Amino acid sequence: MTTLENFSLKRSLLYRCYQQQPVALTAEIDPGQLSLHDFSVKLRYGFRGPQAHTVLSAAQIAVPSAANNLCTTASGELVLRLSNTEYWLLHPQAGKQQTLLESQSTEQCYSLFCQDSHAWLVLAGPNIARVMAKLCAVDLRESAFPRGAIAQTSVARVNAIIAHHSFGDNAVFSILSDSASASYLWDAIQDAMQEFKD
Amino acid sequence: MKMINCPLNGLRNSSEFVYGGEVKEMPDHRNCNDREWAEYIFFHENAVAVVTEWWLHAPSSYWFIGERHTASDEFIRTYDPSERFSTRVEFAGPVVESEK
Repeated sequence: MTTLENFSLKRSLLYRCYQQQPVALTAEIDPGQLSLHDFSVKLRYGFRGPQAHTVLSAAQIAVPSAANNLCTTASGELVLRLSNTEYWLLHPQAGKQQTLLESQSTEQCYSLFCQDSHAWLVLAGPNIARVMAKLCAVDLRESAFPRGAIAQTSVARVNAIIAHHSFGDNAVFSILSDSASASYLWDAIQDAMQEFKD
Repeated sequence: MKMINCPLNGLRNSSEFVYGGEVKEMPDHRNCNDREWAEYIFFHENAVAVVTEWWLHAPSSYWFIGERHTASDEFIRTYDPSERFSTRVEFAGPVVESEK
């Protein structure tokens, strides 16, 4: 088993984007305030392959029954099912030590290194669906995109995975997008948010 | 904008998709001639008809098969490749002496 410590001490690849906005790095969400947070330093990893479901089940991790859905474990980690054979695990709780599942490098179940390939942004507060409507063609309103749903689509013309889930008592969008274009996406979302800020 | 029905993600703008060529059976690369291999790699039927093609939904890296009419550009049907392929298509190994 591999243990990763103190992810919060690592520097996010987005740090240049919010040097004037230290709130972006905190996981404290004010439900009355529209805000964008950078969770890129938090732990995430994935598995793909015909045996991925079996591997996760053997590790006592509940998995969603259908693709493009997520579920939350008792310890607060998110299990995203992105296709019939692909799963990502996201750990939004920072600080404590986290344990990685042992790397599976067989053809039947192999690791995906989304920690490095993808940035993780969290959009929280009122009007998050209206902000995303400016950037994305998929209807993300609560009626069409309830908590637990995932949309893999184009956001501001870059590919992204949008997950609608609870964080504490708040409904938030987690946005996972290619790390190489993450700073562009950060600015694009910030620009879209301006209209809805006080 | 045109919409394409992805079997995994549902209706999405066509700008999210990448064309992947016609679905064709791969000839045996050890025994076919250059013409047959070039036909497989480079040439298209290019007929006015319903053609069967590979398409990629780029945001989810999901390949699927679509039946599209080349004149109307309408998709008749899209489906998961598991309907046609039960195993991964691999290159056959090199010809061994005993097979010659």
